Amino acid sequence: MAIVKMKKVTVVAMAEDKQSVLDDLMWLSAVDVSPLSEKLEDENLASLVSTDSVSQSVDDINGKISILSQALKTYRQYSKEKRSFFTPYQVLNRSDFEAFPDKEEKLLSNAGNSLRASSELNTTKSEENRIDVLFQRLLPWKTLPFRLNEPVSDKADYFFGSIPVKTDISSVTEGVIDEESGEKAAAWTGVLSKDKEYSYNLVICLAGQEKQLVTALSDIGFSKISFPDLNGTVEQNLEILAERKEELADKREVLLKQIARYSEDLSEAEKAIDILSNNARLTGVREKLLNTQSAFILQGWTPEDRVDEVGALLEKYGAFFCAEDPLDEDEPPIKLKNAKIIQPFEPVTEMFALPTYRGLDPNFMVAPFYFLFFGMMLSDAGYGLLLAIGGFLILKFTNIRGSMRNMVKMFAICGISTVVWGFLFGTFFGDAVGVIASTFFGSSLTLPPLWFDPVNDPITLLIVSFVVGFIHILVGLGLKMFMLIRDGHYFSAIFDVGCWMLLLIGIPVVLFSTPVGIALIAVGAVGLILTQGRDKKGILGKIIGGVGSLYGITGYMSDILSYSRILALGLSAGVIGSVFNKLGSLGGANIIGVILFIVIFAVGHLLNLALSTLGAYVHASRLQFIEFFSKFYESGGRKFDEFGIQLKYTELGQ
Amino acid sequence: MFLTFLTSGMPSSVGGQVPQAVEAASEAIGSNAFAFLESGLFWGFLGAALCALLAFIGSARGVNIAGEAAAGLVTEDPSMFGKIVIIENLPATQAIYGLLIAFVAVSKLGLFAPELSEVTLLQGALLFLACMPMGIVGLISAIYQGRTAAATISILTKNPNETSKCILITAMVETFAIFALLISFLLVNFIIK
Repeated sequence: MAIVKMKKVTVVAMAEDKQSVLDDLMWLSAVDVSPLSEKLEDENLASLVSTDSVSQSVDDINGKISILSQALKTYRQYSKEKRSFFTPYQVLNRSDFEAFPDKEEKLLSNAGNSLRASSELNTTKSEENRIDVLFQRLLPWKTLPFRLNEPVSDKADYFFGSIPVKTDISSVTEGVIDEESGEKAAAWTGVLSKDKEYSYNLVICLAGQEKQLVTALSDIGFSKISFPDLNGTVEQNLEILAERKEELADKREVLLKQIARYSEDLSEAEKAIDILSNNARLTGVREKLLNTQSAFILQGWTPEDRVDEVGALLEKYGAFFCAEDPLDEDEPPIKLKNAKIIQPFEPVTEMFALPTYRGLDPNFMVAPFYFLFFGMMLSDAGYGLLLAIGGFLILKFTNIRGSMRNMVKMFAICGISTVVWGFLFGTFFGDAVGVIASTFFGSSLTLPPLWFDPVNDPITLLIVSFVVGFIHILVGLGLKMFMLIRDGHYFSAIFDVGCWMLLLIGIPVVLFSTPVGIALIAVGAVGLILTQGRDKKGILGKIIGGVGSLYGITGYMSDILSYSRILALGLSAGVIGSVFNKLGSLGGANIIGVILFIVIFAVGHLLNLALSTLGAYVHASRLQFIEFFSKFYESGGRKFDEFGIQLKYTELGQ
Repeated sequence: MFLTFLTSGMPSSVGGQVPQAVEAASEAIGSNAFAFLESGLFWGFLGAALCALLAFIGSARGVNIAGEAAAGLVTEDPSMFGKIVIIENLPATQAIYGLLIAFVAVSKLGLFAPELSEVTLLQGALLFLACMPMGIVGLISAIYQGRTAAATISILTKNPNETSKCILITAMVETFAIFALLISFLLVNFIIK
């Protein structure tokens, strides 16, 4: 339960050892390297030392990573190896890093080729689509006897188009009058083909009359179709297109085979990306160092218990090494260290903000209360079992790691709390036991609550929620007091925090022993009135400040009332579960009823589990952040970001 | 004239919807067509229906507002879908709470029992009032929560890893729907034992 103590380490080593010192430090993963470049602002120093300019080489490496990452997407799509949550990570060893430069060129050229092939594949596919569409559009005109975009003869022209199948166009063409000559337009019409909706018509007319005919025809739904880019007859065009289609299909097959062959690189590419991104870090860190002509300086933070390892490593190189305690003006990075059972709850605190180095790691108190609140809010033994068993199975059989793994662990642990509260309140998938027993077996069996049933007795749970919340807030004040005493602010500890604690404790005590309670409240209130105005000027100001501070009681009241959400969420989880049971049981005790029940039960409870778990997660967090942390928490630390191997697709070998 | 029209039309049209409720109500009707207003059951069912109705409308709008923002982000980065869909659905809880209160209210009125309960006018009117916090707060808070969700989705466009913070910010609005749920539940629970 603590924030790990840090030492500030300074290393001075020979320039020729730089690469190997940094490499070893990266594999040790124990130092958070601080950038020293700001020291260059000092002109005297700037004339003596310099930093490496590495952005060019880092960019080079990142360029390679981006090519490989893009290729990886293609590989995943076409490779026979599939990646899922159940695939174990590949093992990456230090020897892989050393052997990598030999493989790099091959991998990169394969990646580039596969990207080119896949982009060509896309072009081929879209070309195939285009041809398909054109083919379909041409097909109705297969029997057109003329060459496209050429007149029939000097005097005759033709056009064609589609029209809804029931319309007869010959009656319209006969009525068209030629504007120039004033005579009837001469037109011959014929149907080339038909489908369900349209008939496909050819119209042969005198040259120059096309426009008028088209205008007249379009009134009855005729739409003229033309293929301006094509020559020759439709049949010839169809043949060419069919040939082209076959060519493209062959090309596609070839490309797919090529890509599939490149995709065998999948594992190697994953390894390569991890190796390259660590190389980028290894190169990038040099920017944080200072160089003299023959030596370099590195400064950073190391957890106290790992200082010796760092020292031993550097001794090999005969480097200068010292580890100092942080000065008052230093802000060391934060690394939390908690018992195994507390650790899964760390992300909750981290989501809010890390503590300051001289503050307090609240996780040892966040964990038990989170556990308690989550269980009370979800409060269903069935859901708790699903969470705990499901979480355990996920941890056991999938490859999730890092913060997701912690999260799953936390839900699994909270599942246990949920089971306990579920039995205390007598809920197992809502009132499933009672509903199943009475609907299908006609018995009056129910799951009796070990404590009480909140649906029948919500006020008791409301009071329990307030009591738990009250304790939570007192613990928060207690932590504040602890921090003040630890830092030597005894006066503040007694009056700013102690008086409030007395006053707050007095309120429930009144219910049991009125004089004692009133005495506690009075002592607390008088203490506050006398001390809380101490920063104000003048007697009047001090008194007003003191009395005014009592207004803070409203804050505590609203904090405590906020814990009523425990009741509300607990009820909503239980009652919604029961609603689904009720709906499911409406089918009665027959085969259809049983099937209906199973379906509604499964879908409904899954939905309720998801919603209620999200609700419990969010609101148990909120109670920590707003009601609890506001009492004592000093946040704002920077996370300890050690210079070490980081892997995305692989895991380190032993 | 207008009144006669109402008196002839009203009972039969309502009777088509909720036969039992109106049967109970129509005993008291006699010649007065508005007598169903004096039925406790009428007010109780009206409260339950409004509670569900308002909360459902609110959630629909809330999820819609969040969904529009979500669609924008998913267009840019389809891999965010899993995270986004959680945030998009946060304003859906009000509908569930509305359903919950409506369900508790109608079971208090005996909808799932062999016979409808005996409910006085006062009890019915109180039940109506008891449903209102959840209905009205559900309607409004879901819409506001939808807007908050849309705003947090724009956080995600810049910082894809801050999902849990976005969920928390959005869930803060829900606090008030939870309080409404709580007060409605307590009221509904105590009006008819």
